[in-house]
Amino acid sequence: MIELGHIAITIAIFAAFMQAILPLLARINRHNNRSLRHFSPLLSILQAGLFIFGFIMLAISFARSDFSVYLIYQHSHTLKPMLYKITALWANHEGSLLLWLTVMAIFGACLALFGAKKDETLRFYALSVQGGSIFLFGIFMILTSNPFARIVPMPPQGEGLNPLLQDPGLAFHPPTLYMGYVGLSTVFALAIGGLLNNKIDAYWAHTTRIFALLAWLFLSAGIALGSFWAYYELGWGGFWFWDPVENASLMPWLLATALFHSLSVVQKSASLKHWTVFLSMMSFGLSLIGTFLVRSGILTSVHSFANDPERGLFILIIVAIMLTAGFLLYGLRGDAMKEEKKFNPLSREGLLIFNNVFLLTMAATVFIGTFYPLAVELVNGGRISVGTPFYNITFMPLMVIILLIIGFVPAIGWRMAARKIISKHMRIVIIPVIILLVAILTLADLWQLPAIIVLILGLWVIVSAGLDIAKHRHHLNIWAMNIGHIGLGLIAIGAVVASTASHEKNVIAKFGETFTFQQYQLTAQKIDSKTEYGYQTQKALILVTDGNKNFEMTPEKRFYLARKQETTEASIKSFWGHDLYLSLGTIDTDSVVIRAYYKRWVRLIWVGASLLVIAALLSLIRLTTTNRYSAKSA
Amino acid sequence: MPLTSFIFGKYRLIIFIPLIVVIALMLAFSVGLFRTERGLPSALIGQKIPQFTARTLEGDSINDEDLLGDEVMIINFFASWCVPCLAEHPILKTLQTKHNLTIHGIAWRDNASATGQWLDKYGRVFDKVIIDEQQDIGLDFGVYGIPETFIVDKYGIIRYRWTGVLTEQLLNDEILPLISEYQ
Repeated sequence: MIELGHIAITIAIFAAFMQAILPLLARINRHNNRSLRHFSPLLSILQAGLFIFGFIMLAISFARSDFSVYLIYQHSHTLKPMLYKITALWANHEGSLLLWLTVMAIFGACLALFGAKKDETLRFYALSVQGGSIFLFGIFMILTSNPFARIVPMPPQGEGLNPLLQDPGLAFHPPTLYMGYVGLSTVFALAIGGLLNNKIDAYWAHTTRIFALLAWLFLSAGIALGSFWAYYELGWGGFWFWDPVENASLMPWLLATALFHSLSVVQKSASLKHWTVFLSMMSFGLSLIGTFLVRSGILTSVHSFANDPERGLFILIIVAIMLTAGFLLYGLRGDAMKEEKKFNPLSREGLLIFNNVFLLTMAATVFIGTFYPLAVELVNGGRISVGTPFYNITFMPLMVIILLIIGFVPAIGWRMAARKIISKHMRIVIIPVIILLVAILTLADLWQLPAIIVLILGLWVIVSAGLDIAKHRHHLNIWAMNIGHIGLGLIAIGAVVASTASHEKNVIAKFGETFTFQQYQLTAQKIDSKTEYGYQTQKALILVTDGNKNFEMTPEKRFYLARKQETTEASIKSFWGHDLYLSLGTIDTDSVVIRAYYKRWVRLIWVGASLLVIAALLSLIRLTTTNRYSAKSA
Repeated sequence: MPLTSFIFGKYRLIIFIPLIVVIALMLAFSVGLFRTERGLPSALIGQKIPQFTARTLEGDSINDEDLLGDEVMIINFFASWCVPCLAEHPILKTLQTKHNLTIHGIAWRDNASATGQWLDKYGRVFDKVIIDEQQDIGLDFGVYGIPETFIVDKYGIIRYRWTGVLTEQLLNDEILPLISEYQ
């Protein structure tokens, strides 16, 4: 049965190849041009169906613990709960490649069924680029990283899975993130399709924007899920580590953000076309570079799979082919794009150029920070690491400026902005901001300068956006834009406050003795030892009270039998203003080491991220339910 | 000015800048991919192999002293779950049979039964096989991913470290010359 999946995938890859060369065939065989063109969408649907089938076959085999499949033997175990048996499918190099390809095929089918319906030539070209991408990654998978490889004789038991990955967060984080990364492949395909078609116009922008927003939606959700998962799983309350692979997801996200903003300009005023085409290609380009990072072993990270430079070279060649072809085409055809260059610098178009420059600079900063250690090693063999301090100095100031600009957006119109409107806007917004600021500072114990600065800017963005919604509440696109900006403001405030204004305490807690932490009194009572499904656990029972409420918290240490690995499970109690976060250290006969964290305003980050997703959804609804796609649509 | 009109005018070379940047980046990555392999600087080079006590595949106790002989030897970190290790297995075989070298294998984050099965199936190229399930030995050697190979001279001093799959070319270009040098 697994072999059926294997065969299906192979056929799909062949279909992808056919789809990629279809334009060539159509050119050679001009008589059958039309039927060949109609064939392309069918090929996309076929690929999607075959890949989904293969994926399901592999998933079923994982569920049944079919250890005759080498991948399942390496990464699963009969002791694992069913959910994690299945999620093990994508928690490794080969399986995640299959996931990547399946998602790419599904997006291709979406493009075939729903994309560029009014411009068949654009769709035709875009689909063959998509097919070409699937073909390249497909042969890479089949030749070097085949998830369907068998092992004979079949081993009786598997090698288990890293217990850190046995978590519900893992079930959703990679697939969502991949839908983001891979969704950008359709944007790339549309950019090349548009250039081949010699038509980068409002309709192109409209259809590309739909796919860009879709990819951005999933990318935002995926990154947020990863951050959320790291926060409650890793045990020390951090949610972002500037790890190379985290950066590899942030860079496409930054460019994708610039992209869908830029696309709205192309839609409305036939300008910023060069920027937009560049961003379309580069956002997927960074996605590709990210996947190269993880699978080649070129940089060490908590996320990397094994050291394998030969696979790395194969991927690098694929990435090089795609990006050089794309940018070569841009070099040759880019000048044919007709642009309107006349608009006032102080206008939405002007602001969005500024936005593009800033987001690109932020992405470049992250890029430099990520690859600088590699460059240093190449030049003089030195080993350095670049971490949070670098990004605090470089990335944060840019973030501050962007927040400042976003607050002005509702006052700045297309084509030109009136100074009077801007100053009126400032006066209206400043008052609520000051009121809220004073209220928050008096009620909350917030004296750290970075936190206060970001709070002011965040409030500036949020109030400005809120007032804009109140004024134009009948326009869905106004809701979408401002909810998105509010989300960003909340994330910024939450992240900076949580990082700079939180508290921490390490205590050797004797059983029965009470210690104080912030407004809480905590008493460690005892340790409960138990054997659960697949692991042994030692749970500390801690009674917590703050005078008004009493509750129990149970941080624990787990020992996973299959991999003989120990993990700590933090205990988190979330309130609106803060999280109380307890982690276990060494356990003794009469005491236990407890690390207590008072993480402030963390919830704002998750709320903000949800708003980003909602905003994207609203925007997508607006885009797909309107028939107008020319300059007039807002 | 002729130069500016060449770049910004009719030929608009400026539009090819993204292409040039991308090509440069790809080249940098390919260099990086192979340079980072080039014998990773190890703080251990020039030092004696770290002390350790462990168990062999057969269950016997073994320590670092037991590994030392009176000729150059190779220590290879591998595991049954590691696919690149399987890829370099023939190279190790060549080293063992054709060049008569002593190779000791350390099974990193692996258990005895899986290791034993793997070696039974693919052939045993190691003189002694040590099980390093908790990766303690790996930690002392600075191993962070496998396969990794160390060349140790007859005095127990580490002379070379390679992270990644061994290849024919590496064998001929670097490893064999080094070994004859220290022989």
